[in-house]
Amino acid sequence: MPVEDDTYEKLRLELRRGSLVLAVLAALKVERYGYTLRKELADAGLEIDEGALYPMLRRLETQGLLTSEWREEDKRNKRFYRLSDDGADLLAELTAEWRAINSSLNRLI
Amino acid sequence: MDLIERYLDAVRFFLSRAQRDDILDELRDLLMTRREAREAELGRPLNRMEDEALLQAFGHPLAVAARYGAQQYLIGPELYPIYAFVVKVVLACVALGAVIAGIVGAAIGGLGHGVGVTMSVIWTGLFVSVGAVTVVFATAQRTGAGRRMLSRWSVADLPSLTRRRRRKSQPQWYENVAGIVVQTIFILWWVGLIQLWRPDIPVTGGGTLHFAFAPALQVLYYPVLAAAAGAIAVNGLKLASETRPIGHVLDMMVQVALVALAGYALHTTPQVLVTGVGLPPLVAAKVAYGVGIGAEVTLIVIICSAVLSLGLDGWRLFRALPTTRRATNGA
Repeated sequence: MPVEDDTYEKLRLELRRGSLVLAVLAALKVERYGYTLRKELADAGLEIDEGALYPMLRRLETQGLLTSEWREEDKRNKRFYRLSDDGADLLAELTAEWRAINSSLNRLI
Repeated sequence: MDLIERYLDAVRFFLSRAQRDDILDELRDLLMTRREAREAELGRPLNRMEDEALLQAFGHPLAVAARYGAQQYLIGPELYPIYAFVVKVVLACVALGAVIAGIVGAAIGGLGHGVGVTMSVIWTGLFVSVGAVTVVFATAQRTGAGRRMLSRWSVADLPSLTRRRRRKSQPQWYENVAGIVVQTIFILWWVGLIQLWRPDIPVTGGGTLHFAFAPALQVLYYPVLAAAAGAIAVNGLKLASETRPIGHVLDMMVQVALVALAGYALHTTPQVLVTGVGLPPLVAAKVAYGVGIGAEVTLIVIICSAVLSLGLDGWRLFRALPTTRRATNGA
């Protein structure tokens, strides 16, 4: 792979990393399990690798931003995630920050 | 056994015990859902090759488990520049030690022996010294001590340009380099990679004297090794960092360890066992008496110099404090 493509890919992933957390928090205002969350994000145009999504969910839960519950659905136990109260507060702050960045970038780009 | 279960069993091995079952349950559900989605696409159950392809695409079990790890690296980006610097200095010291040991080895046993000694010191010295430094920095990373050290600094402690220029003419950095060299040679001697003197000394008129540490001091083997590695890390940090108070605090910790170790050794008598082969017992006893006094004097000197160094570092630290406060008040 040429150096330019490699650099682009690294920067693109860096750019996406922070925004994916925001997207996951926003999508979990409604309770979802991993598969449906990933599908929801993909339908919105944000593909995320499962290998990255599941550890991220666990990390966000450890940070107190999500709550989770094991429940049976389709004859199988699934872990459902939902935004916690702290997560909702943080989502509001991050959304404001996102809009500010977006607005600044729009003026610059 | 089902391929998915075999795969999960491989992932299980690399997961922490506390979260293992929970993570595996979630991964199982995820893989089963993937399999069912693929089966729905094809309208039939997956064959073995398709099952394998599904797991292959999911990733190596080690890579999957690693994503759930709390700590993703041994030494993080904040500490890495200092770590890399200290390792370079230590490697240079090992090279120097290897050359010296090689010259001494060649003088004693010929060129072949000298080359052998050099290669032995390089080979084993690399693992011991780099390993010791890595353990110190990895511990600092793991415990958060390194991050805390780097967060506690003050702009007021930055050296002024005039002080920096003046320091260029001062031999201060030589002290740290000399400390690293001495401690590295000491470690190489302590672990038995180089021999600074012969354990059996021939005596005029026949017979030999044999010197060895008292068995009661063997308990100090690893603490002394750790203190020496700590001293190397402190000297490296002082060389690399302009934040002097951190260096003084760590130096004081090493000096306290040195006082404790030397104090323990002083309390244990005799420190050195002297045995004579082919000598009258009275001669060996006289030598042992002299060596015992020498060892005790050496330990007392070590304790005194460590206490002096403690006082000096404490004084430097005390002098640095008002500067920091002034800067804070002025802000």
